[in-house]
Amino acid sequence: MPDLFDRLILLKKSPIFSMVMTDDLRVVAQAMEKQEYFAGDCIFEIGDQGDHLYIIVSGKVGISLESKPSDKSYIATLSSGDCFGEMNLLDDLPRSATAEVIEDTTLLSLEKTRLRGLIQSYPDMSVGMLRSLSLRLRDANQKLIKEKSHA
Amino acid sequence: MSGRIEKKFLIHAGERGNVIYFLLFFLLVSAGMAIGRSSADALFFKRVGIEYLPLMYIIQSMMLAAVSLVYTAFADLIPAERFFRNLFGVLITLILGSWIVIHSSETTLIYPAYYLIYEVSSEVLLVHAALYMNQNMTTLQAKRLAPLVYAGAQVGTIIGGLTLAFAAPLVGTQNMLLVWCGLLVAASAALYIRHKRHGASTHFRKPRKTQHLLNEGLAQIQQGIKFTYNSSLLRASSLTLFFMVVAFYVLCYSVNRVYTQTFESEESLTRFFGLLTAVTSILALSMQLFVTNRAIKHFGVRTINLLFPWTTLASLAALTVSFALPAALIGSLNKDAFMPAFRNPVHSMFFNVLPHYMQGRIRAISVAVVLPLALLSGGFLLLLMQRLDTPVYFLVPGMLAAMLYLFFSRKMNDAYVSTLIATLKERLFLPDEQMYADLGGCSDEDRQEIMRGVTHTDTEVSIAFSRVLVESFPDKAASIILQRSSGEDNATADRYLKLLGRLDISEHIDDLKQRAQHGDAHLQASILQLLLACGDQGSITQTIQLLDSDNPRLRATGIQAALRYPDSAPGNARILSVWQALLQDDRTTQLAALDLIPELQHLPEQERQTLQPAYQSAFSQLLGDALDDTRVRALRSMQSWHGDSSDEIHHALLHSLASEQSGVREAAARCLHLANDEQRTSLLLQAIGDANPRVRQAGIETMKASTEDHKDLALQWIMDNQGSLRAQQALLKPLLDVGLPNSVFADIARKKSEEAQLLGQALSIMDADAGGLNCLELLRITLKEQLDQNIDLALLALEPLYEPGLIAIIRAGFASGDARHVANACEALENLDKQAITAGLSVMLQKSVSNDFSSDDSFFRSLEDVVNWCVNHRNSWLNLCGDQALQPLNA
Repeated sequence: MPDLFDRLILLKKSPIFSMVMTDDLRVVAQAMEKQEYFAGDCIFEIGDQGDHLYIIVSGKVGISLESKPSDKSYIATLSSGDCFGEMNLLDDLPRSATAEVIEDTTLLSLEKTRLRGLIQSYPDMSVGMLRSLSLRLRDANQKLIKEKSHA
Repeated sequence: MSGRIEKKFLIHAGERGNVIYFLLFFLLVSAGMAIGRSSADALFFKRVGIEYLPLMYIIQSMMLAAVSLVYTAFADLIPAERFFRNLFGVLITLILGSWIVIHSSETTLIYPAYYLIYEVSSEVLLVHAALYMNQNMTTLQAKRLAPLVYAGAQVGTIIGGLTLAFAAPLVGTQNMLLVWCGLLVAASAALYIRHKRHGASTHFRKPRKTQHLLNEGLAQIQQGIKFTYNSSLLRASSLTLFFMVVAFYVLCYSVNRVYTQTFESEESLTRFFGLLTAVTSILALSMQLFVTNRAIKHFGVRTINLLFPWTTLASLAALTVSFALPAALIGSLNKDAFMPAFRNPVHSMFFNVLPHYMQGRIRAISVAVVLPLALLSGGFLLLLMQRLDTPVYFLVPGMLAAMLYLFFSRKMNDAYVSTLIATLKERLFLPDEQMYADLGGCSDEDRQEIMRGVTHTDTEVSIAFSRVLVESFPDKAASIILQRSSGEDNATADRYLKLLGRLDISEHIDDLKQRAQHGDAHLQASILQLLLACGDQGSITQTIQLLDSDNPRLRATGIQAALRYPDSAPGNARILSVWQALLQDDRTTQLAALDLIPELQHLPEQERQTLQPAYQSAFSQLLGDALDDTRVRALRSMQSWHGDSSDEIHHALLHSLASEQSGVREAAARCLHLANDEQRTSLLLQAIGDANPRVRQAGIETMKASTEDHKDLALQWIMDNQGSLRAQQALLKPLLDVGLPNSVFADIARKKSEEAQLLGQALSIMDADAGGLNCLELLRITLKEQLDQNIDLALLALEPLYEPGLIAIIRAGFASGDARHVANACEALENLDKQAITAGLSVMLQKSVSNDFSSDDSFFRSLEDVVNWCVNHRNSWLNLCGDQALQPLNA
C-alpha cells in the first residue's frame, strides 16, 4: 500500500496525470509496472517502435537525438517525477529520441493499449496529456528562440 | 514581520514586488499632481480670479474632449506603460514651458493655461492609471490591492502637499513647477526599469489596427458609445459619472470660493492648500489602509459604491446651510479624502468586470464624452448662477445632481452582477442556446441538418444522425436509411437496419428480402427479425424453418418466429430443445441465445424455469470470457434478464464493474438488479461515481428503474454524504429539473458548503503542521480535491434557486482555470442574492483559488485531529488516505 501512495504522489506531480483525481489515479498507479535500469542502459533508441510511457521514480535519464549519445549530446536530462515516451503512444510513429540511463534508475512504465483504455475510462487524462504536450512545445519554442538569438 | 504586514494588507504570496512597484509609482505621480494642483489653483485664483473658474471648466471640457480623442486612439493599442511614458514626456515639456513663460513674460494668460494643463492631464492620468492597474491585475487582485495602491498615491499626495506648504513660501509658488517636473522624470524612470525587467503589462492584448489613427480614435469612441448603448452597466456608469462630475465641480467651486475669500495673499492660500492637501490625504490614506479593503470585503462593492454619493449630497447640503470655512472643509474632506478612499477603487472594480477589449474604449468614452459634457454643463450652470447674490442658486442644482448621482449609482449596482455574468459567458464561449438541443424538432432547418449528417461519408456520424432521423421523421426515415445503407458492407448495413425496428417498413419488404438473400447470416437474421415484426407471412414460414439451420443466430431467429407465431410453429418441446442446445454448445451459440431473453415471456412459467439454470451457466461463462466484446454483449443481454441471479453472476458483476474498459463497466452498471441485495447499494454508488460519464448515466438509469422512490433515495445519499462526491453530483443533476422545492436545494448547498469549510479548516492545519511526508502530502491533495468538489456540488445545488444558466456560468468560470474568469466567478457569487446561503461558499471559493486556507477558528486542534477525522469520514477514499497518514503519526 505505501508503494501505491508513493506512486500516486509521483503521478499527481507529473503534467500528464495532474488533472486526474487521486481516487481515479489508483487504477493508473496499479496499471503501471516497475522497471529497474543501470547507468549506461538504453531504455529505447531513436527509430524504435515504442509502446510504453515512462515516469522516473528515481535516477536520471538523458534524452538524445543520437542513437549512441555521449554526455554532451543530451537535449534534456530527466529526473524523478519526469515523464517521457508519451508522444509515441498517441501518434504510433517510431521513437523520436533515444533515452539512456545516466544514473541507476527506477521507472514506472505504462503500456500503450492500457493507456488508451484508461484515457477512455478517465477522460480527464486526455486534458493532462494535452497539457503535457503543450508544455513540451513551449519548452521547445523557448530553446529555439534562445538558439536563434545566440546564432 | 514582513509576513505579518502582508497578511494585514491582504497581500498574497508572489505579489509583494508588484505591490511595492505600484505603490512607488503612484506615490511619485501623485506627489507631482498634488504640487501641480495646489500651485495651479493658487496661481489662478490669486493672479486671475475665482470668478473665471466656471469659464475654465467650460474650456477644460472642450480640451478634454480633444485630448481624449487622442487617448482613445491609443488607449487599447499600446501597453498602458508606454502610453504613460509618452504622456509624461508631453507633460514635462508643457510644465517646463509654463515655468519659462511665467518667469520671462508678464502675461497672465499663462495661469489659466497652466491650470488647464494640470486639470486635463490629471483626468487623463486618473483614467489611465486605472487601466494600467487592470492590465496588471486580475479582478480579485484589484479588489484586494487597489485600495492599497491608491494608498500609495495618497502618501505621494501628502508628501506633495507638505512640500508645497513649506517650500512654496520659501521659493515661490511658481518655482514648484520644477519640483513637479522632477517627480514626473522619476516616475518615468521607475516605469522604464520595471517593464524592462518584467516585459509588457500581463493582461494587455493588442487589438488589430485597421485604419488611420484619428479615424481609429473616432471609431473607438463610436464603439465605446455602442458598447455603452448595449450595456446596462455602462449606461448607468456614464450617467453616474455625468451627475457626479456636475455635483463635484459645484462642490469644488464652492469650497475654492470660500478659501479664496478667507485667505487673502497668494502665499497664505498656497500654504493652506498644501496643508489641506496633506491633511485630507492623511485621512484618505488612513481610510484606504485600514477601512477600504475591509469595508469592501464586509459590505461588498455595491454598498460601498453608494457611500460617496451620500457624502457628496451631505457636503453640498452643509454648504447650503452655511457657506463658510467649516462647511468648505467638510466639502474638501469629501472630495479629497472620501473620493480617493472609496469612490475611485470601487469605480475601477466595476470596470474590471467588462471584457478587456472594451475597457480602454469605455474609459475613453468617460474622458472624451461624459466628462466634457458634464464639465460643460457644470461650467455653464456656475457661470450663470455665480452672478446671483447667494450661493444657494448653484448649490441647490448641485444637490440635485448629487441626488441623481445616487440614483444612477444604484442602477450601476443592479447592473453589476448581470454584467459580470455576461462577460464570463462571453469569455467562456458558453452559447445562448445549446447547439442541436432541439435537433429532434421538425422544422425544415432541422431536417436539412439531420440529412446532412445522415448522408455524411463517415459511418459513425451517419449512424448517429440516422438515430435522430428515426425520432424526428419516422415516416421518412425508413426509405432514407435503406438508401444510405445500400452498398455498405454487411456489418455496417446491419447497424443501419437495426434502426428500423420501430418504423413502418411495409413498403420495403421486397427490398429487405432481396438484401437478406445477398447478405451474410448475421444480416439475414437481422432482416428476418424486422420482417417478423412486420408480420410478413412468407418471412414467418421461412424463418421458422431456420430452427434447423447450422448458424446459431439463424436458429435463434427461428425460435423467435416460432414463439411469436405458434400456429405456424412446431411444438414447444422442439423449440425448447433447440434453445437448450444453443445455451450449452459454445460461446457463439450462447451469444445467439442471449438475443432470445426477451422472448422468454412467450413461454409458460414451467418451461421458462427449465431454461434458467442454462442461462445462468451461460452468463457465468460469457462473463468470464477473455474478450471484452463478449462480456459487454453478455451484460447488455442480462439487462433484460429478470430471472434468478446467482453468486457467480454477482462476482462476475463485481469484476466487470472494476474493469479498465468503460464499456464493460457501463454494461455492468445496467445489470446491477442482479447483484446481491446487501451489496447492491454500494455497487450502484460505485457505478454512479465512476469517472466515465456513460457509466454514471447507466448507474443512474438502473437506480431509477430498480427503485420506486429513487428521488428520496438520491437526496438521502447526498445529505448523508454517501458515495463519492462525483456520485453525489451525478445523483443531484437529474433532481434539478423535477420540481423539488427550493428549500431542498438550499439545504444541500448549505450542507456541502459546511463540509467545504471543514475541509478548508483541515487544510489550514495541514499547511501549518504537515512537514514533508508523502502520505500527508497525498492527504492534503485529496482534501483539496474534495474541497473543490464540495464547492462545485454546493454550486450545482444552487442552480434552481437562481435564474437559468446563472450558476452554470459561475461554475464554468471556476472550472476554467483562467485567473481572470475565476476572479469574476468569485465576484459574481459574492454579489448574488440569498447571501445567507452563498456567503460561506464564496469565502471558500476564494480560499480554494488562492490556495490559502489560514483561518482564525477551526474545528480541529491538531494534525492528529485532522487525520482521525479523515479516517472516520464517510468517503472511502478519504478513509484510505487518512489510514495511510495515521501510520507515521502513530509510529
